[in-house]
Amino acid sequence: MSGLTCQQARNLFDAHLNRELSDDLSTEITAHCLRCPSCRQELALLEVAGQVIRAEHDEPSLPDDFTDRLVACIQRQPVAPIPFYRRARVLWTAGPALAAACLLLVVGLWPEPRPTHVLGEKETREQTEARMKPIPPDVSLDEATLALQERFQRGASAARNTLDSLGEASKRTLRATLQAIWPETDGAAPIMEGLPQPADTASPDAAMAGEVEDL
Amino acid sequence: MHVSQSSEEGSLDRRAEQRLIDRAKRGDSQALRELIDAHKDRLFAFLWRIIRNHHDAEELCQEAFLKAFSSLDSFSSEYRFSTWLFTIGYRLCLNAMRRKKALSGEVDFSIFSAAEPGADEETAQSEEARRLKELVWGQVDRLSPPQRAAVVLFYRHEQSCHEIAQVLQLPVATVKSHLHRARARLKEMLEPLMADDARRDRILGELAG
Repeated sequence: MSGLTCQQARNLFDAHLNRELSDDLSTEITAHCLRCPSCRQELALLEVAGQVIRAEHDEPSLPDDFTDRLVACIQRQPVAPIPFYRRARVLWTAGPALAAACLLLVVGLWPEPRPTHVLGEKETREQTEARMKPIPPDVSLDEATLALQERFQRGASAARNTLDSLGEASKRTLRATLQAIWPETDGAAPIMEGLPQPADTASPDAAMAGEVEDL
Repeated sequence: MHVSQSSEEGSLDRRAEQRLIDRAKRGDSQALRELIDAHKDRLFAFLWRIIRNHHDAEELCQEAFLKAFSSLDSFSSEYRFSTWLFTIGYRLCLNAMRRKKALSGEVDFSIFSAAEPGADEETAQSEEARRLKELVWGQVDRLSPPQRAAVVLFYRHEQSCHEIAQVLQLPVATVKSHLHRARARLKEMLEPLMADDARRDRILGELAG
């Protein structure tokens, strides 16, 4: 069998350079180039740029602290809010406890008798409105963080005032419910402080917490 | 710095990578760190070759990681993490170049070329070899962004046409066409230099050595 013609060989150059040819066909090309100076030169010209590009080692590198800075940057990013459908799932799981807690909260919020304000001050209507107003987009990150912290503390304080009027059993149920709705307990910590810890790991609170973690 | 597929393969096999991704999804900072360290140099080298500016490439590299980590839930394990990361980086790079073009009013992508010299000038090579390198990279910088990306991914990162197609989000046939055109342009530029085989062999020998 005779070898490749020049045209056949050149038609295969791209596939050869792309490393897509079988060993047999690549050998055919090599064999053709050995006996044909013109195709040998053509293939060499096509190969030379690739060899120069492969052999390059003058490339800059990233600064040494790139990873540290990037990890710090990722950790500064706000935790994404839990999507509503996941909240819905948690609420479904916590259904009966939530119903009880809602009832207790309504009782707790009833105007008479007013709870004793152990922690924090009672929030005025103006303060509540200020707390609900969106933070303007042009404030600095630090200002926004401070405003958020202040708002959350005032909000938590208002919630705590309500909690104080609840009985121990109601507080325990409420704790379980809050934990279910708000799995990142850090976020709910100021409210959680006012609620009793579960008595033991077999309590409904612990079971609920475990269930939430698995979600 | 030499980047190659083998360095990536050597550092992380697919199962180890998937475990790291699972941990990263749960916010494990050590896993994030390992994923970044495994891919940052290759991604940065690729982006720098396309945008040709150290500062821009570093920013794009960081942005690509941030984007990748913030959308890890949508990462499909049928791809390699590096392919996904390079795809994000390349898209960000194209957007940045378009923004620059819009600001400067320039149409020619070669404005991004040879913006700065490489890190250390190699002194061990002959004048001929240095000239050849300058010519080749100068021509690579004048290729269109997809052609340049295809050439860099193929030769520097040793990716197959199929992998390049995934990164550039193009059909494999288009990638092959980009490589074909790029090689043709490079060959055309080199033709006057290739007067005799002995001279070519000597220069290539020096480059390899």
